[in-house]
Formats: sequence, structure tokens, C-alpha cells
Amino acid sequence: MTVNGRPHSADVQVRTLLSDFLREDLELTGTKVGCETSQCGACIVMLNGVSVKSCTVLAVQADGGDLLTIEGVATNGALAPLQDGFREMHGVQCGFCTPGMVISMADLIARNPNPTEAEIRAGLEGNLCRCTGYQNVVRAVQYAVAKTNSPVKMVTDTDAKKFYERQVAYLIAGDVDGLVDNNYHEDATFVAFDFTVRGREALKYQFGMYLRWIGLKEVVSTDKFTATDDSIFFEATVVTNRGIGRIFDVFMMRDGKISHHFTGVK
Amino acid sequence: MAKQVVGTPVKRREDPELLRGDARFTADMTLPGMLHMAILRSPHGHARITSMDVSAAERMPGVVRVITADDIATALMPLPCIWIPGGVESHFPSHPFGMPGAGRALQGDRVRYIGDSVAAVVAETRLQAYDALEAIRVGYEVLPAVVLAEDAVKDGAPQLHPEVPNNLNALWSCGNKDAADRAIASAEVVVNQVIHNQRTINSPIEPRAALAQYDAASGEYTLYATTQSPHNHRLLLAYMILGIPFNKLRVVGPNVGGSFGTKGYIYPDMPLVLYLAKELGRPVKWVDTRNGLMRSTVQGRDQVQYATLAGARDGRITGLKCTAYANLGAYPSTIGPGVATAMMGRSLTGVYDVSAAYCEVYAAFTNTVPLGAQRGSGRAEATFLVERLVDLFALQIGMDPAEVRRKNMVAADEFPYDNGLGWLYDSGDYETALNRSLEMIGYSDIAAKKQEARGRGKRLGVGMGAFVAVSGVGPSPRMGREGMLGGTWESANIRVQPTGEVAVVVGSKPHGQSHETVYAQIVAQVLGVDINQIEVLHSDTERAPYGQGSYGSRSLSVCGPAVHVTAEKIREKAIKMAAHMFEAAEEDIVFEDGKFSVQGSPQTSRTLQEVAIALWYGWDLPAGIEPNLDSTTFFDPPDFNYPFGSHAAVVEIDERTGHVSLVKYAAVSDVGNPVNPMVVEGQVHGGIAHGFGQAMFEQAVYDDDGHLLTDNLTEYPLPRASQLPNFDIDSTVTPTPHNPLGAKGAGEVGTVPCAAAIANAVCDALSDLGITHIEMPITPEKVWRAMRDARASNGQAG
Repeated sequence: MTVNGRPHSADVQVRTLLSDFLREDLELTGTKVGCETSQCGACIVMLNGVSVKSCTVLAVQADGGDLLTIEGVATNGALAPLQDGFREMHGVQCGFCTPGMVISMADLIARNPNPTEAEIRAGLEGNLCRCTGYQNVVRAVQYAVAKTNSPVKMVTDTDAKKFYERQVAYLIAGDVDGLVDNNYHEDATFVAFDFTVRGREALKYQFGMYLRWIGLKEVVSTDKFTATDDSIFFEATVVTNRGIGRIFDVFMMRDGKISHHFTGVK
Repeated sequence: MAKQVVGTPVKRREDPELLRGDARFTADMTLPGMLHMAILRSPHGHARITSMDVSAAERMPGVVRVITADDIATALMPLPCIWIPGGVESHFPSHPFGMPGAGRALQGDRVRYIGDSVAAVVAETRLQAYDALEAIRVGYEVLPAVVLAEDAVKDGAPQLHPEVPNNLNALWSCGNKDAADRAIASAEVVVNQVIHNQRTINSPIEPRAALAQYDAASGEYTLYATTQSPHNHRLLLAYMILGIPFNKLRVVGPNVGGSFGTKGYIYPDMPLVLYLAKELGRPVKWVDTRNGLMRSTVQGRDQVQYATLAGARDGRITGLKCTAYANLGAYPSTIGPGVATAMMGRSLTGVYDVSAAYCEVYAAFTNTVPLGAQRGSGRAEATFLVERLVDLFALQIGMDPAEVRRKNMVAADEFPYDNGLGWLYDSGDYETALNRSLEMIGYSDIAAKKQEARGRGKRLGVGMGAFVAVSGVGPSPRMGREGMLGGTWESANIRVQPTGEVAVVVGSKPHGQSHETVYAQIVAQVLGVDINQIEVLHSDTERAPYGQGSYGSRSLSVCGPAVHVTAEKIREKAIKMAAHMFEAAEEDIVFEDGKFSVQGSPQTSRTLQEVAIALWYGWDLPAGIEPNLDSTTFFDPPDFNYPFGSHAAVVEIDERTGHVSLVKYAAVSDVGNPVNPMVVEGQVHGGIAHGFGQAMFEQAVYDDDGHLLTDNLTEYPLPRASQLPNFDIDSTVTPTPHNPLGAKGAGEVGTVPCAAAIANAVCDALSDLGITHIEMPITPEKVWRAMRDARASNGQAG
């Protein structure tokens, strides 16, 4: 068999479980064993592209197979988007269920690149966690989905892109004054949900409130970025204090600054 | 301006290693020449051992040794219990040191619970050891068993221990019985309810494991184990079980896969692997199975409570009384007896100002797995009781249960508040948390929501659970009076290396609580150094020689202050040294972002590393200062701290099946000043899931002979992602005066009120049928039967 790209061969007793073969014979102890009744999912590995509970697979059943264990998920030391997601969203506490979770969710995303929250929770049926209550695990998967689906943010180095990136930098730094003074006209309007504000002072107040109550921790991905002579439009997946969400913005531009800013939540 | 690090959601440094699968847990470890141990457990709840024949097992392939009770009779003392309920007469099976004994590592004459250990096999491979177990022939004479605490204390019940008449470890009490009885006798309204707070099995995903090594040349033992208290284990194993010098035992806790209270106890496998490692001259490893865990790792809760609330028609609670029967299991576990008594009884009044309260607990031995702490131990049982009683009271007087709570809550200006049962609540604002949780759940809209749900064939109910949870175990003198044979301080040592890295050595033992991140945040804040320059060392008694481990929500609020105070001592000493180096006065030294300069001359500065290496060289030190930048603090908290909050739950019950869905859940927690709000929120999520499990389907079920019927994850299911909604989380901040961080414990606040909120919601959904109480776990069958019986007695079709 190959395991994480490396060939292995051994003679084993027929009763040897794949989980024990990986952990004891190959010393790949990342895969864990938590029960004997195939409930907990700590032992999940990928066999021939499908996630399986290695405690319920005999090593001999994997003969000639292609295995991926947790040790093979990161590439050249770089964490995969799913692993990143678990870290960003605090989906790991004791870490014992984590290897099984990562492989299981990697399989989910591979088969269903845009899972709904209900589909993610259903997909976690075979993974037990006693630490996290699953909420941040779900968010981790959503983060990975957003990151995977938007591998390239923006290729062209345009003025519009630079303008947008300055916006984001100000917001993440919490520099509301800098944001509004530099990027908005004196009489700019901001239209969101069911209200409108006008003028720099009002905008500073509004953005300050936003940052305090909702915050902006990260822009995970930006797509559908379109720029014309007088407008910029984009959608973004963002991480805020409330978790992960999707927003859209339209900037109407005049002389390099925003005159009207429309925003909404998807 | 110092960059704010404390109070921010710093990402965990523990994660990359865990995510790559590189982090090692005990079962992942191998040592050269390692042997494997398997333990033979009793198949009976109560039996006399009449014969033992290991000869066939000894001859099996790969078997190196088989031992029974006789082999360890003088080598290993019984496992000690170190929490004896304080202030009352207690009876325990004895230990040669004149203290409570929790049974021997291997029983020779009698087994008293389904997982009691009777023999151990050591073989070259794990499978060979398990194969040999089956060849051991044990003759048993089955004895009558008793599995309920209330039955165990009656005359005529099977006796487990000769030294413990009526199986009664202790009749413990707190409060004022006369006052409570008078309040009940003269009350306008009296509510009586029997509550069975069922036995649960903590079930961390990682089963326990132990690996011991003995070095003949130095006489040193090393134990790697799934522990949440390496220091306590070291003391108890060396001093009270093996009788070896303390210095000759090193205990290491590798990564631990969750514990929730179970891995702080001494179990038979620990002294056995140590003993065998020396006997055989090779390391010995033992890894539990899930079935073994269910049958032998301490179980939780398990109290039958006869509870009474006395009140007035205007909604004021005038008295509370409880008589509880607590099931300690077959032996007193390391701290079981104290957990079952004080942690519950003293918490009886919850967030309410009730002057006439009394609680008595009969703590009894039965033929079940020994009892230990489960997340929220004692406090969850008390909270469930009082929150259910308050709802029943509200129902009886026809008042909104939120209003009844508001009328009785300790007011925000009444702190510190003495609850009359032994707790002095430090700070709190209970009503704000309650109101916020109700706002989050949409309480004002519930009638409309019920109507809408009816149209879909569902009964909707809303329930609340207000709570306060004594945490931050604890002030050592107080714990001593409470009967704890141990100290409960914490330790932190910080050294700034001559090369600039900061080592923080702590006595807590993380098992998922992110200590490596949060302590680094505290130090980064005080010393202004980059958090990546700080390393937190823990879990190895050789590296971190002093501590008590992690339990009872104590790490952040007891070890955290030790870290903080030590960091300040480091800063103080560094400032003294910097002043000396600059030939300036201490008051003129500016210390910012890890750099020292003289006020008004920021261009000339020294880094923390430069100061540290100057102290290391010791060429020119100020008077009275010793070399090195190193400091230690032992922090004994002046008192417990009291996190609090309020939860609210909305459930929908299927009319046809009785199935209960949790559709919305709001939790407001107050843990004082949070060091890392992301970590706190994660703890709350996990705690809620834990409470949900007990409320809905978790129960350790024994038959009358003491057989555990729920001994795997099929019979004892754990909560799954698809059963849980997203939790709406909010917090208030009411600092504690008891430590310089103003921080309170956060590990258990999610669990303490959760089952109560859910049970109250279910009862609300069923109240129009006249159903007032339903026992946990709230299975569909129970709900269905309750609805059918209620309809039958109301003369309606089922």
C-alpha cells in the first residue's frame, strides 16, 4: 500500500486492524483510537479517496490501497485550508478527535464543495467531540470552503484593487478616522440594511460602532470583484465577532474617493 | 501605549502540532523494550473470589508475567481517598496510613463493582496480553448487590465494606435546619419534588493510558499517563501507594484528550505499571479500551434529591431544603466523597437570596463504578434542583418564572454575599444576565412562536437556567477545613533566559483549555514582549515541580494570577537592574514594549534580553539583587471565585413521537475579565453540549446485580453535531476582587445551568397537559408516555 505517498509493505495477522497497523507498525500515531464500536471517528483516514473508520477496516483490506492519514494533509509544512480553518475558528481544544475530523471533513468538502450548515452537521455524524460542542468545527469547515473556493483573490494589480486593499487594512487596524478621511468624500453617503448616513462625521461614528460590536477580523476571500470608471463591486467572506459571513459592497467613485457606499449581507 | 494582548482572541499555539497529528498522547508513546499490560476486570457487580488460576495464561505466547492480589499485597498500598467530607463523622474502608482506602490495585477476596480489577497480564504485544486475559480462570461466588444509594443505607442491604456500617460514608449537612423547617411549616406555598439526577459517564474521547519506566541505575521511575494532576499523582503514588522516595518518581502528562474531571484520580493501572516496570526491568504500557473506560473510569452526578421550596404568594422564596442520597460507587475515589457533598450542598441556593436553607447528603457506597467529578460537579446538580423548583413555584402561583427569579435574585449591590451555606459570592449581577439571555431567546415573542409551532405539529417550550458556580478551587485553608488532604494553591515560575526567550513554568495541566496561549498572553501583556518569545512549560514534574493540576475551573483564576504576579516581579527586578545600568533612579525608568529607557531619553534603550544577560553575568549588580532574571510565586487565592450567568433554551416536541429538538439556545456567561474571549467561548460551547447530553439521553444504567448495561458508545450515546443548534453566546464582565486579573473560572459555566434550562423548556412545552416534571434523560419515550398518561387522566384520547 502507499501511505501519504510512501510505499509500505508488511506481513500482518489477519485480525490486525488498519488503525493498529498505522499506529503501531508504521508509527503514524496521528490517527487515534477512541472506542471499539466504530462510533467516535477518531480513527478516520482516507482509503482510496474515501474516508473510512480505520478501526473497522482490517489492514489486509487495505492491501494495494492508497492511504491518506492526518500526517499527510499538510504539504511541505503548510497547513491545508481545512487545518487553517480549525485554527482560525478555534475548532480544536484537546485535539484528540481532530485528526479524524480533518480527514472526515476533507472528504465532505471533496464530495460537496458548497455544503450548507445542515449538511456539515450531518456530515459530522461519524465524528464525536466532547470538547467543542461542534459549533467552531462547523465554522472551521465553512472557512475552509470559502478559502478553497476562492483560491486566488485578485490577480491584476489595479488602482481599484489597491483602493480596496487600503479599505480592508484600515478596517482591520480599527483606524476609522484614517479610513473615512482618506477614502470617502466629505459628503459621502453610506447605505446599509434599512438606514442611511451622510457626511464624514456620521460615517466615522457608524464604522466605529460596527467595529466595536461586530468587528472585522479577517477577509477570507473576495470574489466577483468588478471595477468600472466610477464604481467598484465585490462580494467577500469575512470573519467577524459573530463568526463567518458573506457581505457585498458597492462603491460609487468620484475622483478616487467614495461618494456612495452600499452594503448588505448575503 | 502598551499593546493590548490580554482580553484579545489570540489564536492558539497548541493548534499546529495537534492539527498535523504530531502531538503525542500517552497511547502514542513507545519506549525501547516496552511490554504491554492488560487488566482482567470483574464480570460481576458484587462477588467473592473463590479461586484464581493463572497458569494457563502464563503459558500463552508472549506472556512475561501474570500478577494477582497476592503478588502486590505488600508492594502496593490501597489507593487513597484524599477528600473526606469535613465537619462530619465519616466511615471509609481503611488504608494502612490511617486514612480512607479506595480498594487495592488488584482485589483478592472480593470484587465490588463491574470493573473491579483482579489480575494483570504483561506480554510482548498488546494483543498477546488481551488474548491471555481470556485464559485466566477466576471462580466467583456471586453476592447480592445494591446499586441505589437510597437502598444501600437501609438495614438489610448488602454490606460492601466491614468498616462502613449501612454503607454510609457520611451524613453531611450545611445550613440551618430549624430555620428551613420553620419556613416550610409557615409557608403560603410549598413545592415538593423528587429529582433523580442520573449517573453519567464523562466519556472523553481519549481513553486512559499509562506507561511506566524504571531505571535501575538511578532508581528512578517515570510515569507517562493521561493525567490532569501530575503533581498529585506523584505525591499519592510515591508516598501513599508505592512507598518510594518522592524524588525518585517523575510523572509526565503528555497531551491529554479531554478529561472533564476523570483523569485526576488514581486508578489501579498507575501503580501496577510502575510496579511491573521495576519487577520486569522493562517499560510497561497499558491502554484502556472504551468498554474498560465505561466500567472503571469514575462516573458522575448520581443523586436522588428530595427537595422542598417554601414561598409566598407574592413570589418570594422563604426557604429551601434538600435531602439527597449521593452514590459514591463501590470505593471512595480520590476525591469523590467531597465532590458529592460540599460541592452540591453548599450551592443549593443558587443565585437567590434565601436565608433559610438546609441541605443534607447521605453519601453511600453501592456496587457501581466509583464516583468522581464530572464537569460542573455538585454545582450542576444543585442548579438543576433549584431552577426546577423555581419553575414549579412559578407555576403554582401563576407567575412568570422570569419574574420569580428577578424577585429573588441576589441584587447587584449586595456583594459580597454570604449564602448561609458556606459560600461567599464575590461579585455578580444576576438580573442583567437573566434579562440578556431572555432577550436573546426572544422571550417576549414566545406565545406567537408556540402558536406557529402548533401548526407544524410541534409543542414549543422555553426554559431558563440562572446559575452561579463556585470555581477557582481554592483557598488552601478553606479546602483543608472542607476535608481536602491536600493544598490547592498554584505555582508559576518565570525566567527570562540570557538569550531573551521567556520561559513560563506552571503547575496547571491543560487538557484542551489553551493554557500555553493564555498564560503567554498574560506574560506578553506585563512584559511587553512578543508573544512568540514566550514558551509555557507544564505537565512534567521534572520540568514543573510544583502544582496541583487542572480541575474545578481553577487554572485561569488560580494559576493565571500566579503567572501575572510573577511577571510583575520579573518586571520589577528588571527595572531595578535597568536603573542600575543607566545609573538612573528607578522612578525614571520607562519600560515599554520590552524595552527600558530613561524618561526623556528614548533613543538610549536596553532590551529585556540585555538586562537578562547582564543579570546572568552578574558582573555588576545593584545592592541586594541576586543574579538571574527568575522569579517564582505560589498563589493561594484568598477565596473561591463565582462565575455566573443565565441560559435560555427553546425546544420543540414532536406530538406523535415525543422527540425533543433543541431549536435555540442562548447563554450569557460572566467569568470576570476574560484573558482570551475566543477560548472562553469555546469552553462555553463544549460545556453546553455536555449539559445537553445529560438532559437528553446520557445515563449510566445498571441492573440490580450491578451489571453496567451502558458500557459502550452505542448504549451510551454522546451528543452529535446534527443534534445541536448554533448557540447564541454573550457575556457580561463583573471582575472578581480575589486576583489581580479580575478573572473567574470559565471551564464549567457552560454545563452548570444547561440541563436545567432544557428541562424547564420541556416542562413548559408540556405544562398545558398538566405535566409539571420530567426526569432526565428526557428521552422521546418518557415524553410520549407522559403525554399519553396525562391525556388519559384528563379523559382525552392518547
